Amino acid sequence: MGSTFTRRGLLQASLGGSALLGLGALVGCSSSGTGTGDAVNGASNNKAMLPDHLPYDGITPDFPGQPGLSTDAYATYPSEPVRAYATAPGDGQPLSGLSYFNGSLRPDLDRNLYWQAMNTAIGSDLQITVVPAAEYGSKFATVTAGNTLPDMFTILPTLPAIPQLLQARAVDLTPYLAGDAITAYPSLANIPTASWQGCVFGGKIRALPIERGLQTTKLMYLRRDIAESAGLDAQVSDFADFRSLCAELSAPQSNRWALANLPLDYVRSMLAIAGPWTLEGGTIVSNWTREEQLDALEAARGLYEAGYLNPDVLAAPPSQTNEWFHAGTAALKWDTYSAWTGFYVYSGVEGFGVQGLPVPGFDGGKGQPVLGAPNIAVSAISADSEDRIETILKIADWLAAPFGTQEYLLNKYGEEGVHHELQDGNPVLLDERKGEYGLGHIYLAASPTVFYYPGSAEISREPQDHQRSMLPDAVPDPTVGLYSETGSRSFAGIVQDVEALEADIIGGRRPVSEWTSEIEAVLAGGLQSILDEYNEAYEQSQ
Amino acid sequence: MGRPTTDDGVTQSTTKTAQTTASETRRAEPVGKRPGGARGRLRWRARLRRDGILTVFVLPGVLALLVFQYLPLLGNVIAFQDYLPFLGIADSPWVGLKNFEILVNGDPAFVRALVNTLIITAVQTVFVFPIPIAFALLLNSLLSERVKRVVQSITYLPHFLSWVVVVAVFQHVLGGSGMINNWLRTHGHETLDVITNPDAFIALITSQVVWKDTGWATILFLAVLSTIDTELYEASSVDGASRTRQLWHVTLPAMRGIIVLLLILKLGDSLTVGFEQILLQQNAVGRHASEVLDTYVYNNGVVGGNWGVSAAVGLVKGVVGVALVLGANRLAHAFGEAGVYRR
Repeated sequence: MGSTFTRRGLLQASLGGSALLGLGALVGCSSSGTGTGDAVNGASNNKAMLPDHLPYDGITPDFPGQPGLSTDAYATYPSEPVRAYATAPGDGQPLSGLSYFNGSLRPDLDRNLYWQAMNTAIGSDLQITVVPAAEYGSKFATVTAGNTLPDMFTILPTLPAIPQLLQARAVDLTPYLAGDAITAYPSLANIPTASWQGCVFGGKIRALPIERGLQTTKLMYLRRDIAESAGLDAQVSDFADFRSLCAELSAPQSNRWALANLPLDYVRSMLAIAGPWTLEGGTIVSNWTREEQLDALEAARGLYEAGYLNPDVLAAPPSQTNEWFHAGTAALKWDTYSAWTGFYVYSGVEGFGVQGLPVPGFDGGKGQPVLGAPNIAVSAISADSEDRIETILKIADWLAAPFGTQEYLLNKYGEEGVHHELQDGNPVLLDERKGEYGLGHIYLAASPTVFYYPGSAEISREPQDHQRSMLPDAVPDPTVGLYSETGSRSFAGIVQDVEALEADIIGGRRPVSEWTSEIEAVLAGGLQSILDEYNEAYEQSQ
Repeated sequence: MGRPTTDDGVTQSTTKTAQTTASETRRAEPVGKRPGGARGRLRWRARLRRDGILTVFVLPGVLALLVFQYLPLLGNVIAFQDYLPFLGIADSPWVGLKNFEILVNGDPAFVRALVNTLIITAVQTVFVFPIPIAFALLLNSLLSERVKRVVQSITYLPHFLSWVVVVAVFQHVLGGSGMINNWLRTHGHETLDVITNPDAFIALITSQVVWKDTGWATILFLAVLSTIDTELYEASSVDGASRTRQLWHVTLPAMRGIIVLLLILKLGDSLTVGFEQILLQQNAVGRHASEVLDTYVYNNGVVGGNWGVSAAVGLVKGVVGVALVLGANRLAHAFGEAGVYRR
């Protein structure tokens, strides 16, 4: 028993980790304490031991979100941030960790003023081994096999056999965090319940959430400035509209293509078959076996064939798709909400602007987007470090200090005058020290995310507006909170195989008709067992 | 521990005295005598005294070999386990030969990887292997030392680039939005699909290997060419041999030993084809065209978490490689060549 990661989280992370790659370590890529409470099924039998939710009330959002529908947004940072911790949480001993980073590798401690400031403020040296996001899986496997896990480590949803791993190697946090025990850690108590449900494995709290709330949900981004300068109307009311928008945005002669990455999941949302699973009349079924898949594949293949995708789209690493989007080599990109403000931070283009496309039905009407997982990852504390558990939890609590506190300001924006300067009370990052933040700590403990773009209330609010228009139609992943033994072992591999097949079909390397037989083989090769196990778990949870 | 005369291959083949001593004792020793007697031990000590200093020189290398090559071999036991990294070898459940079933039950992903590997090996043995030989002969026939040096230096260089760089260079030149296609596009021509064309994949990776390693591979052949006694050429030209006949009757026979040696070693590697190179380009053409045994082991094991099955495949691959080397070596001996080691 016990809840696990959402399967969709797996899909997203393996879809190239654009969620991870799209945002800078620092930017206020975030969501409020809203979460997706009612989006979670089947975890009711775990509720008894979940931590209480005590939302931080020290600050009121300028644009409050609605639980399950939109994320809190802030126009400005408080001019007098509250100090959440009177004394440093550390015990003077280093905190070792294993995590990942995006972008460039941070400078070493002696040349890294941000790292030095964090160590001083925390009172324990952060000694976190960081590896590039794409290599995290293999690094993690070798570290676990060598039995050299550090105090804290990040668990990406793509790792195989997570529940077994955590039961064998992670501290059971239930006695320290369940119920009102969490009041000792007020910042962790500020994290919404939906995220904690993703931390329960085998009936025990085995991890801390890296909350993203609604931000892991994906949408189709459009470079508004490009569309405007081309005089295009970006209203999309069916697939045909989208296709003609792609046609108008493509200008191969001047080195521009409409799409930076595969639009398959967007097309699937139009056909209401996005995500691997759907709940249909009380039974969980696989979306991959739905007939509409063939239409989605055919439509996406048509876009590729027409030359609307960057010709290197199948060969390029995900990080490159961001570069294309920033450089305007591509004008449309499928990415998560958390990338929104990050696009502005890293674009460096005059007049840069993005907007989100709506999700219409394939032939008009409304489409059906699928909600992302409430957590982008979770982090665990090594069973070998249980003797220091309270210090480690305190440090985690410090790292999870919410928006509006002094701790959050240092954590995300470094020191004033060194890493950022205040413009009208908003911390604006200075370019010269932008490379220092990738310590990996943001994937060991994190506060609930919010939308905040320093210096522009408008940009802070844009993504929230889009959420309000898109998310009322969105459906959650029905397997969130359910556990499948087979799934925990082999679903990551299955997703990889299916994605390879999708790329083959869209790229015209294999005909659309092969989808059906290949998916039948996938069903026989383990997917059916996963479905059966999920359905069994679902029935028990009802 | 075996016959005392056979544990000394190095000395035998390197010094003439040792060879004589060894063969003499071999003859002197009565068949069936219990090995390791008082005499044998004495000789062992005497030899140690004589070669002691050499042994010390060899020690660090042997140690490194043991620690980094032989010790990790023990990890292959996970081929017989349902291995989970966090449980470790000690606690992972044993499953017998279950992991090896994939070799015989016709798993399509495995079969595809095997077939691709064999095709790529065959193509590369036919097209890649002879090129450095031809290139070495060409260089050798150049009269100007300076031109030769310059050409050599330029062709060696790509060997020192990592595959990441080589693949990136190829993609920037040949890719869909690369140099050539951008030129074609701006001049209104059809673009070429090279990088993402599965049918061109084998040709692409083969040309990458040729571009990267031909220069480097000529070094050995050039070294052999420089050892050929020039009197042989003079004598043959006195006898009226043309350049072609000289090539056929003097140069190539002199190179035969090294060619056979490298071919045997290549055979041992035949199930190992450019892991890094292929993995980097796998998304571009899809796994159907590009999955080979090594990437299969990686994708299935490290990424997919099926460690046991992957280890089983890797183990069998290693065993087949050793068998091929030994078999080819035998064949070489049968044809009177030295092979990898002397009999």
